[in-house]
Parts: sequence; C-alpha cells; structure tokens
Amino acid sequence: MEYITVRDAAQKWNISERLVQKYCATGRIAGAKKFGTSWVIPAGAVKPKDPRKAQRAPAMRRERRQSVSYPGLMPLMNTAFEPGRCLEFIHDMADDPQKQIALAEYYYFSGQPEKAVRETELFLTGADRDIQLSACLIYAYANLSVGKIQRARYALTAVQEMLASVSEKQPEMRAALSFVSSAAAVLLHLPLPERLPPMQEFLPMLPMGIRMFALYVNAHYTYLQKEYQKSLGIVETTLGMQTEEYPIPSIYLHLVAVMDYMSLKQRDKAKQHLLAAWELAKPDDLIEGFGEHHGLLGGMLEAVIKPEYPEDFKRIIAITYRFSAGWRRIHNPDTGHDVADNLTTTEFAACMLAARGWTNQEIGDHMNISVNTVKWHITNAMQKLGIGSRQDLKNYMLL
Amino acid sequence: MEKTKKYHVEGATLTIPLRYDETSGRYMEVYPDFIENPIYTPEGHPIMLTLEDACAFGEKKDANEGLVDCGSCRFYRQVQNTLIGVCGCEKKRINIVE
Repeated sequence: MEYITVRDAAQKWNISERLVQKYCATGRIAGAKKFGTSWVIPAGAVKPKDPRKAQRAPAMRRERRQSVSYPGLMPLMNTAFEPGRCLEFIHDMADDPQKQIALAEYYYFSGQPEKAVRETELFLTGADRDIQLSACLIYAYANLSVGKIQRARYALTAVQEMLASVSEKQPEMRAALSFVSSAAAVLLHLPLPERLPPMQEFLPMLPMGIRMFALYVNAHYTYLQKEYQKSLGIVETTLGMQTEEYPIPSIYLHLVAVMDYMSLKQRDKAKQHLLAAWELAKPDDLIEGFGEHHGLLGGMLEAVIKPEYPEDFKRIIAITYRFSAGWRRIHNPDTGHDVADNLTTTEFAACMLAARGWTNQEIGDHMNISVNTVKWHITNAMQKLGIGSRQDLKNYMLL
Repeated sequence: MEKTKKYHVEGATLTIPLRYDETSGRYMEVYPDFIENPIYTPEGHPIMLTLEDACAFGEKKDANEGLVDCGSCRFYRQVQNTLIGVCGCEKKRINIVE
C-alpha cells in the first residue's frame, strides 16, 4: 500500500496539518499509522466528513413532517378561492358533508350564525374526525354569537376531550386537534389547553390555508402578550409566504396587523391592512372577523369603513354586540370581568385608544369626530364603569 | 324639571346637569366645556375635566406614567366621585380682583 505524509494529506484535502493529525489520532482515517511522532496515511484515504454536519443532517430529517391532507377540516378556510366567487366554489363541491361544512363556514364568516348552527348540528358526533372537529369549532363560535352559551361550551368541551384522549402515535390527529383547540382558546382569550403540543410540532403537518389560520391564532396570542412587533413578524411572514390567496386566513391575519399597528400608533400601516382585509372580505360579505375584532381595531372601522360603507358598518357593529355579549358570558363565570358591559362600540373604541395613551385630539382626528365628542364618549364610558382616571381606565381596559 | 348635581369645589359652586342613560339605567353627569367657558375658584384656579388633554405647563404626577391628561398632572386636584377637579398650576391661575 502507498502512503502519503500528513503534509501531503493536508494539501490534498485543503485543511491544516494539525487537523489531519487530529483525524489520525481519533481514528477517523482508516489505515493511518503512527511512526514515532508523525503519521502516515494511505494514499487512497478519503477526507473525513465534518462531524457537526454529519450529526445535523439526520436530525433534520427526523424532525421534518409532511403536510397531511385533511379534506374535512375547515374546507373553505383551506381554499384559495378568488374573492367574489366563494359561493360559486361551494356550489361546485360534491354533495357530501364537506360541502355542508364549507357552507357552514360561509354562513359563519358572513355573519349568519343561526344558519351556521343549523348546518353543523348534525356533524357534532360522527365517524369522520375532521368533519366533527370543524363542526365543533363552527358550532361553538356560532352559538356564542346567538347567545346559546351552554351549547358553545359543550362543543368546546368536546374538542378538549378529544385532544386529551388522542394518542401521541396519531400525529395527524393531534395536529388537527391542536389547531382547533388553540383556535378555540386563543380567540376567546381563554388559557391554552394543558396538553397542547408545541406549535412547531403540528404546524408543518397542516395544509396551507389551515396553517395560515393557525399562524393567525399564534399572532393573535402574541398580540395578547403585548409583543406587537413579533406578532407583526408572524403576520407579514405568513402573508408573504402564500403562493395563492387564501381569503379567510388572510382577512384574519390583516386584522391582527391592524391591531398591532394601532397599538404601535402607526395609523397609516394599520389602515393599509384594514383596506387589504376589506378588499378580500367585501366581495363575499365575509364581515364576521371585523365584528369580532372591533374592540381591538382601535376605532379603525369608524375611521375607514363607516364613512364609505355605512350599511356594512351597521351590520359589523351588530356582529360586535352579539359576539361580545357571548364572549362576556363565557368569561364572567371564570374572571368576573364585564369589560364592555353597557358601553357602545364608539365608547369602547375611544376608551381603548385613551387607555393606550392617545390624546383626545389624536382620537378625534383618527375617528373623524370632534374633540368634544371624544370627551363626551369617554366621560360617559368612565361613569358607566365607575372609573375616575385614565390610569384606572388603562387598568380596566388593557390588563 | 332637569335633574342636576351640585358640587362645591374649593369655594366655587358648580351645578352639573344629569341625563338618564337607558343602556346603563343610570344618571350620567353632563360636563360643560371648561375650555370654551372657563370657571374659576375664588383663588383664580381653573376648574377642569379630568380627561382634558395635558397642557404645555403640565408635569407628570407619576414618574412611571406619561402625562396625557389633567388627571395625570401633579398640579391637578380631582374632586371625589366625579370627573372634575381644580388645576393648581400657578401659570394657569388668573388674577382675581377683590
């Protein structure tokens, strides 16, 4: 056998002599022999691989999960349809439970909760777990809006029980359940379920539209932790990643961006996102999200939507009242909070901005109302809440 | 007859009209515009609304909080159980001629 020196090997492999000696000493070069203080290496020896890279590669392969098809899991949310053609897409679906779930989604997202309840009732139990999960999620939220809190609780509890019973050996099922559980909890500002796995574990398995909505839930959760820049990062990245437009998750992502930018007092950027959301929602009348998020949008609906679309604005406000009444009834037994009790939506919006340190002049400019009208709304709200200072208002509205 | 509530604020007497609010089922105080029509105490201090935007002479009451309104200013003395108070800042005081 022919041998080469350490220096030859170092030149051949383009590494230092010291590293070649180290490889020899640690037995990483087959056939290397020691003569006195030096090593000789078989001429045909192969350069050892970098151990760091060698270890990392299989680890990455192990962790990678492929997205799974969930045909029955919120099919409308998971569809990239052209705005204005939502109903057309649903009518073209095959007549099966998926179609009914898609229709229930449409009813819910267009502010028709009674119809959404009717469509989902039949699927709360059944063999198809995706259909059942979707039905539970829609049924819970729709019942919240129609004031049937016991029914909403029933559906949310059913989801929690499913999550608790699913085995770790069913990762696909765990992923779907984790998505639904976190969506149900975060959007109602309830604690996350104890058995919820980390998001990175289930997110890659979800198909694009559902994954985007899961990221909206994550951004909303991050917003609630007051990490506005981080929340914006999630939103902007998710919106930037989509190769096709998924209207439902996109609307909700834009709305969180409005919340974040308003908290950072960047009205222009907030307005851009609100208009982007409106452009996606208006053609199919998907206005539910606007009503649900009203209180957190910082008067942006009053400033942007009300002047141009007064009739739509009225319907959005009706959704807000209905949704927040249900929201409070879910919360009261646990927290005793009645944050928005008796406040009009304008009082609520003005108070949220005041609590965030906006001056009356800034609020008036933003909401297109006079400073005296701002003071009128805030004094009314403070009297209703029995609050004597802006600091107390901040504690009440934001903590 | 219009319902009102009387406040005696550092020597000044204020009559605040009340209006019934149907949504909350209670009477609410309707504050006058103290900026447009100022009212002063006998000492010459202006009476203000707690949530009036802070002025250029204001100073923070609490170092950890911002100065946004009269209520967050160290010169402001709020009357209990209402949203009005007295601005004790000397620069806002007017000269009272006896």
